[in-house]
Amino acid sequence: MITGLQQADKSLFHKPDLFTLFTLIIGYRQHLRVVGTSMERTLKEGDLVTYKKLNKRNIDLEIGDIVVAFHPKTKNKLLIKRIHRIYQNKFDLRGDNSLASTDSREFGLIELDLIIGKVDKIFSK
Amino acid sequence: MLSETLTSIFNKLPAKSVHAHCDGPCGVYDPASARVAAEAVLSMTKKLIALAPAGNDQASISAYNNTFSRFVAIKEEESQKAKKELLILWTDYFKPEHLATYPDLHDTFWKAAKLCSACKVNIDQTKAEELLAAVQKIHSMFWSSKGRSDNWVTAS
Repeated sequence: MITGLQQADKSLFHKPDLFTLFTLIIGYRQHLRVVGTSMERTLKEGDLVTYKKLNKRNIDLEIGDIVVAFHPKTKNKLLIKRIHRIYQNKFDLRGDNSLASTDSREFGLIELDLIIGKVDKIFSK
Repeated sequence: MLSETLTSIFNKLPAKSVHAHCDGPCGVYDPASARVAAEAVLSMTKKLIALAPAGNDQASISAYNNTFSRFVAIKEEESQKAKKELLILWTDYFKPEHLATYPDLHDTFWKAAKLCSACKVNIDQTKAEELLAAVQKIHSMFWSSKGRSDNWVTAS
């Protein structure tokens, strides 16, 4: 866990609600199911997350944000990691559970166009 | 009641997977897997070179073709397996800091991977022996990087 981010994380956690369910069903909101342990203690296997898609008018990424990105080496595989550092529009993505995470320490910095969204809600299993 | 129902629905909601991913959370690596595969490649290569039909009749030719095909299939499979195991060690176990101690690390792995390919597509005992030697070199690098004994023991 990156120091100082606990408060920001708390605001992401939500209880299931009818409005979110409706937005998921009609496809207004994107959702994904977490697989793996590299984001523990924040995200556990089976948690549901929703995310805002990035577009040209909505590139508002900051250190500490949890993002969904395409794996740089495996086609069509989606990763969920936290922005650890930003270097000249390239992103150092890390798992909160650094002992069990394959991230920018191994596959290097991620280009912006590989990041498809920013997690805005977490629904713990 | 509503809250429980919604929680149940959210837990069962179909969703695409997103990976909070770790290639090797167990941290267990061992060049023995590559060694066994490389030994099998050498063994099958030797057997293929020594293989000959028992006679000129149809039954002997069929038996020869069948055995030859099986040996080739195993040789190719084990070559691919050796390559996979070596690539896991190269890309997952070894880190940039190991280059200071083993400056020829990349070259060693690259050549070993090439040998796997050569052994897969050819019946070449020299290449198969070179592959086993390359795996032995990687075995020594691996265990010395862990500060452990690097006794080289083969199965065959």
